[in-house]
Amino acid sequence: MLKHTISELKEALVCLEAGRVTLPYPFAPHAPEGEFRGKPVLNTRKCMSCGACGNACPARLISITDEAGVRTLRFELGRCTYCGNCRDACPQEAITLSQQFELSTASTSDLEIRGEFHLQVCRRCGAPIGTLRQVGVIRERLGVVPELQIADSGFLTLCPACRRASFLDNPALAVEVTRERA
Amino acid sequence: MPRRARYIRTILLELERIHSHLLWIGLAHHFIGFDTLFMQAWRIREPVMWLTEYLTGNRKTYGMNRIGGVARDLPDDAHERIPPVLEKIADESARAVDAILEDASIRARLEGVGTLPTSAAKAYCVAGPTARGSGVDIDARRDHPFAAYPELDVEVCVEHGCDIWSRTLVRVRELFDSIKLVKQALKQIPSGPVMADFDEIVPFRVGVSSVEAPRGEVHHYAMTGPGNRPYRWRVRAPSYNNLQSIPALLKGQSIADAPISVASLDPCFSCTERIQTVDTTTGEVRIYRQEDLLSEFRKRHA
Amino acid sequence: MSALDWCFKKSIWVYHVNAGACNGCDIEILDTLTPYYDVERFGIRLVHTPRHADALLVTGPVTRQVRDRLLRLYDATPDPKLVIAVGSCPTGGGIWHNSYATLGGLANVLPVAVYVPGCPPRPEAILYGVAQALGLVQQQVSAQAYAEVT
Repeated sequence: MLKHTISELKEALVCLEAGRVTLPYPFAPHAPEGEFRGKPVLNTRKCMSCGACGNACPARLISITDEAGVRTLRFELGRCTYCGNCRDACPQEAITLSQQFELSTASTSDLEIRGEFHLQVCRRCGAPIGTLRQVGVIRERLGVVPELQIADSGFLTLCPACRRASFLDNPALAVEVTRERA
Repeated sequence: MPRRARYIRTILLELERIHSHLLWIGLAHHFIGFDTLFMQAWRIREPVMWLTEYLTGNRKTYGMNRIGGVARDLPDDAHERIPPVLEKIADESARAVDAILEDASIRARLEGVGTLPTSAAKAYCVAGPTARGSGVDIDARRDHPFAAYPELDVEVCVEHGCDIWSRTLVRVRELFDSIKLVKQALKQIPSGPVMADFDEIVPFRVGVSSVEAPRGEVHHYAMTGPGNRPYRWRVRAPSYNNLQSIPALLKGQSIADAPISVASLDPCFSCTERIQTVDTTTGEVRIYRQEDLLSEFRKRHA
Repeated sequence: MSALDWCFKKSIWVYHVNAGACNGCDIEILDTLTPYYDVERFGIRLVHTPRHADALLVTGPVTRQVRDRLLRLYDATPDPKLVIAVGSCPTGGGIWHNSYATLGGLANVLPVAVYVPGCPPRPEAILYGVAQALGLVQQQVSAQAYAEVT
């Protein structure tokens, strides 16, 4: 009986010493720390709408549709699991996971990110090759290899099938690249 | 998988065990009507949630395990952030446990209740603290070592009382053992890469794993598929077989003891299911009973 | 605002339904009751039967097996009532959105007042969502739209 009373006193002490710990949220903010994975945010200046994020997303919420010379990139964040795969896959580092967690909404369409980007179409057959930005990024990255003379060639405005066909039509378009073996 | 990745996985699994057992202690006392300890246990456990939110980006869905390693490394100051939290948890848990050990009401509700004899525990193939509380000496961390466990000193906590109080003691001892394991892992964790180097994930390859989750051995079967996505995935959670022992647990008890008896298995009802098949072409749904499954299996493997 | 609306804003009783969730969101809902977040200071409490409830907190992507029980629970809850979807699974189906075993989100089964996305949502986020359903706070999230100009 005495042991039980002592035990009850100890329990009371545990509570009294803890005191009141309630956070003042929602009257004061309680921001997460460090690398919290909140709502994805798209940097539309960096994004080239390549679709790497769409390949990586486990919930398949990122869709790309091409129509009438415009590529629409759409994130339906309603089913996002905040895993960060899209951020890790993006070659342009255009996606960041913000610290925003107060995402309650009356309508799931408020959880959408939508971007419309102009497409580069093949000058021979009209099929979309990629977005203008994508082509620009490729031009920039390949431009550092002088042997390829990309900037002057007509490569980047032809789709892969037409590129192959063009070599047969016009051998001058082919660029010979030799590498010295060490 | 690089050694550092193994250690990171181990640290996170043990942190998960810590907050899971504290959760259970809280819930068990809620079921016997002692809400004070429910609130206190969950108050004690909250700093671990904040810690994992700092380490991984989310309170409980860490999103760390990837094929070949872990997705992210721990933050640079993990070694400074983790020990104070562990000290606080160890200290407060010790005081709370010390306070309830001699509480006659709690002992009366938990001792001699929900008894699962050792032979029944083995017959029902229960796992985890449910089994260890009934004297069955199994633990996947020692029996099928994975991650960094071969290099750590895991203490398998076994009690022989076979009742709910034994299971409580097992979980309390595991709580303190997990704290020790995290400290040991932090001391021993090597530097290095956190992801193995490989070219591509070959599709239609099968992987099976057996991990000691807080509730027991959980088995995963996964088959990789095209496009870096899983093709098949099946989980056999420990609650699935733990719940089979409920008839033995409840036999001869009063109804008032039923909630705590069931809760003493720490059941995750979300991890259980009846087998239901859906024919994806016709949309037809069929629920299989045990007899149906057995006869199907025998037909195909006669 | 009618007298009933005024009462509704003060203190709602909540019934929690797991419609096939993994338990992550369920634990975070229970977490809101614990000392650090203490949702009971707003008069919100968890009840054990839908007949006493003003709001249903639904987690999970609504599996086939649970659908009929979910509808019965909804019918058992007296009007006026709110349905709050907690987590990414009821909001849009989560990772299971196109699975043969689930029905792709709560909106396909019940009329939802507020969605609280997250996997799982922080207890603060759940508090915010319930407060928003009661009209106490404003929605913070909005769609992002961009059209490239060349």
